[in-house]
Amino acid sequence: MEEKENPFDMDTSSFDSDRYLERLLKDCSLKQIMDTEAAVVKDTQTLHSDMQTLVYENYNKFISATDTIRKMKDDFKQMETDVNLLMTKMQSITTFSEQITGTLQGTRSQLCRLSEKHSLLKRLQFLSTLPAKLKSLIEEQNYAQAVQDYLHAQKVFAQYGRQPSFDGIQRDCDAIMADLKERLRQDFQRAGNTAQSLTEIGELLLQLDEKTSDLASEMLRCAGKRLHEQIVMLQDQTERDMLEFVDIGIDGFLNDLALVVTSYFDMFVAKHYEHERDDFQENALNELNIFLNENIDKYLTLVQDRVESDIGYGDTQVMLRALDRLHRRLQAMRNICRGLQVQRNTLEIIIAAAHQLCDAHGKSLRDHFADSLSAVRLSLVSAKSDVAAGVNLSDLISNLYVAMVEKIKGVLQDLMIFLRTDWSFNIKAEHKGALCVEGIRENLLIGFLRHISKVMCSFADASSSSPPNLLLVLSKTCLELEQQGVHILIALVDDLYEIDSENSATLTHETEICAEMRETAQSLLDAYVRLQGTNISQMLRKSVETRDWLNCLEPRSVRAVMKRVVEELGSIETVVASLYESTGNAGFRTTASSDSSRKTYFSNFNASKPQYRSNWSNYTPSQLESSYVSNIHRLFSERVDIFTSVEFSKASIVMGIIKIGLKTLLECVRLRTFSKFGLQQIQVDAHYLQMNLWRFVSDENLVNFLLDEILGSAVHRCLESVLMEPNAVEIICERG
Amino acid sequence: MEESNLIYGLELQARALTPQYGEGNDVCFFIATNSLKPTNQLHLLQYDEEQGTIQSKIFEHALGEVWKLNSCPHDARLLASVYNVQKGAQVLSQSALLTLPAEDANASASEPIKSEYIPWAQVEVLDTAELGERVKTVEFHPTQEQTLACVVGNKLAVMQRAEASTRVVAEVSISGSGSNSSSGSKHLTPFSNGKWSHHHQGHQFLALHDASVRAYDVRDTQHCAWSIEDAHGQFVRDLDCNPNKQCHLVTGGDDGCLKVWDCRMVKAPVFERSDHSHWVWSVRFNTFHDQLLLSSSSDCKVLLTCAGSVSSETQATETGEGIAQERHKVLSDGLLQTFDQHEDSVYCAEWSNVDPWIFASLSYDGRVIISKVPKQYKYQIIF
Repeated sequence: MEEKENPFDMDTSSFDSDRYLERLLKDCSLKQIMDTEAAVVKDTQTLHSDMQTLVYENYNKFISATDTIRKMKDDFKQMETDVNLLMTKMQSITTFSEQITGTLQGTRSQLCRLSEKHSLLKRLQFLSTLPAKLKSLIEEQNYAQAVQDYLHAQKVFAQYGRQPSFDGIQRDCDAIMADLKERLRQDFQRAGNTAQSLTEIGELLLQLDEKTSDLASEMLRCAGKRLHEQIVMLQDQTERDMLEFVDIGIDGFLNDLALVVTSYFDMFVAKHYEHERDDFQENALNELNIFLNENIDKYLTLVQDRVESDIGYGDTQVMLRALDRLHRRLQAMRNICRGLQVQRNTLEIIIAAAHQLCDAHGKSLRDHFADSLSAVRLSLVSAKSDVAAGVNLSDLISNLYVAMVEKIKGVLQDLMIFLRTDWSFNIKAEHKGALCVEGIRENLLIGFLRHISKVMCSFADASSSSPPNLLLVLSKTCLELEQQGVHILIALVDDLYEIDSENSATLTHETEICAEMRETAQSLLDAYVRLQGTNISQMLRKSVETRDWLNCLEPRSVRAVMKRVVEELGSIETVVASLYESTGNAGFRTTASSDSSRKTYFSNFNASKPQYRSNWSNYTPSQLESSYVSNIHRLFSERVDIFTSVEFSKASIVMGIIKIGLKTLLECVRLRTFSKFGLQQIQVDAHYLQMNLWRFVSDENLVNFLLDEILGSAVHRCLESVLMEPNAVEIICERG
Repeated sequence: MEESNLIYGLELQARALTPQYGEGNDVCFFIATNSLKPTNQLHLLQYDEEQGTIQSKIFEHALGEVWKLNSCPHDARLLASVYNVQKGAQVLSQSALLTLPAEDANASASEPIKSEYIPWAQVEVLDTAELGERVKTVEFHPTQEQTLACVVGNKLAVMQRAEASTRVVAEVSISGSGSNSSSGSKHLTPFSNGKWSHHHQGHQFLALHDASVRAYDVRDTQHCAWSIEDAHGQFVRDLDCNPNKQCHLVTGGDDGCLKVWDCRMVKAPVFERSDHSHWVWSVRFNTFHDQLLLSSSSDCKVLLTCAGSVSSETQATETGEGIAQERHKVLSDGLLQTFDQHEDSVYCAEWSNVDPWIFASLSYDGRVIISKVPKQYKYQIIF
């Protein structure tokens, strides 16, 4: 804390010279003291000279002041006499002025009266010329001025209406005004008026004491008529594009509507009228509401019709831009008319348009699908050559598949336009809109996928005569869709439209569609197997039925039909292999298809079933009851399910066909009776099949079982069951 | 207790099965063996539902291997068999009318001679030599006791037994089989099977010819009333008329399909299923509840199918409430039950004519299975 009064500061009053000196002596060196002293001396000198100057200056000033005072004393004496003179003169002026005022008093009041009379006369003149003026104004069509004048005069008439002279004028004016009113009303009702003039006329009429409620309804009626004309005009604008159409609508119809609505609102709703009922305003508002909604409705219906007829043909972008503009305008209008509700929304139109576009796209997808199917069918029918067919098929599949997927993708992208962020509307915000977006997923995509599987399924019908390869192609396409396409597309749509399908209870899950696709693929494949099996069967059946088995010669060769069957199976296998090779080979066949293993197969076969073989070869009619043999054999062999659904692999498909063919052969054999040579022919055929079929299948036992069954049945149906030597059979078969 | 299926085994292959008609309340079926070895047999099976047993009477069919059996709807003791005989280097199909011995006569006779076959009361070989070598079937007329229809090769003949007259009603002509180019050149495709229509006052006979069904009016020659061409795309194996509904018939064919047709609209079947995976060998309407269809196939399965939508029972519910008692529940269409106890092709399956819920099926290995309609369906239909 610092002391306020520092005894060491020379400039303060509390300066203590002794203490200062003492401290100086104590603290400082001699040099410092000497310096200090010099400084102090210098300071003292400066201060001293300053003081002298000050004193000198002030002395001078004092001297001059004394001189001035002396001079003033003399002047005042002279002035006193002048003031006295002025006083007397002023007194005389006052008396003069009083005299003048007294003389002028009378004239002034007269002037006052005169000016009053002048204005009255002026007003009278106005009144008297009013009728003429009104007429001329009306002729000039300056109705507003006329009404203003009339209203002005009205006040006067109200005051002086009793007088007969005024009465005449008033009557004239009233007549003119009634005329005007009539004219105005006609104008009001006349068609072709703009909404602007309508409003003006309405206002004038209102000033002329027209009945408010009548006027209000009249106004709406007339405006309605006018707006209707606009609508009719708009209806004819079919050749303009959507954007122009909406612009015309906004400029003409909506602007007029807005004008009418605002002026009506100002004229009738916002003001209070004494002579109308209390609920007039409320009613007026109500009516205005109805009017507004009616007209907006009309207009939007028109727009909607337009949209409906245009969607799918024109540019969606242009249409949406137009609708966007309309949406903005209506939004603005909604803000203008407070207290009014515009019920109908452009959003509904947009959503409807979206729906419609979805439908249109769905249809085009379906058409495209049908087209590509028939194209596939055509190319299958035209390109019959089996050699090239393999390459062909996978090409066809990928074409069909890729074209389909790309088309769907394109459509999905196309529909995205509805969700662009720079639109003023947001479809997804509304429930209906959200439903619509989901509809894109459900109806368009899922619906189309379902359609695909349904259409493809119809090919699997036994009644539809489709070429077998078509079934194979379709089946594979379905499989591809199931494995990839469905997932890609559904993921795409979910991604594009931000649909959370995983957690939705209502949306179709991907797996459902996949399952459907797989089912379709399966049934198509089954149909394929069935069809090819039938073809093979037909060959075998005819060959057995048409031959006379009782009177045939000893077999020298394999029957031609068996070779054809094997050839046919071979070509089927190449076709199937071109599609299913990669999956079909995965560890199905245990025996590799090489020459060496083929030999082992035969030796294995002979080793594993020697008893069985000897059974048949040693068999004679007198021996064992044949049924016992077959039943006992059946007892020990596990039951083979011949007819099962095929798998998506080459071996399984070919096996399915072979099974059907062999079963048919079995049934045919059972219907015939054989001689010894007939039986031997069957034996040769069966052996030939055994030699050739093993390479097609994964499970040779099944083929062997069926062939044994065939031979067994032939033995049953033989009058003289003597089988050929196995070696002889083999030689015949080797010879081909 | 489970639905008990009774199995009866034959020692030989068999292809022929037919229910025994007549007034009796016993569930009886005839079966016959199909073997080239001598002593083919014909068994009369009597099913005892309470004890769950089958009693059989065995007859000898010395004429040859039996391909088809039909029993007479008017005489429980009469049946017709179609069999093969060997004549030199040829096999001929012939047919015979067999009459069972009277009940009381064999009751005493069969007891002492155990192992022997019961003798026939009468065996009458039909004279079909003029008609052809291959008798396909002999069908008893549903109402006229003395009238038989014979399908022989490519001819269809009607026999009046009382007058001993035979009249050829229809014959497959070259033009008729012209469409079948593969076999047309060498020999005609014969008729394969046939059946009397239950309606049309018994004047129509339905014959199967390759893939088509043809109805002939027997009063006139070569008068084809209507036909269903390409009924199955392939061979049609069997047909049956709906006994309760006019114009409805069911067919089964090599495409494994089961089709119900309305003969007034032959363009497309009114009902179609393809549950079998191989040839359908027999199809039968249930006589009482014609919504039930029984079919057997060479895929070793017997299927019970419901064709409720085209059954006469649907009509009853539609037309009126007056016959409320007659009205039964109609099950929804589709496959009801698969019976897969057979291990070989099932060539025959027949309803019992006594109990509407019992049927028998016969597979090639000689196994007869008598089964019942599963209880749940039975109750659904009754209540």
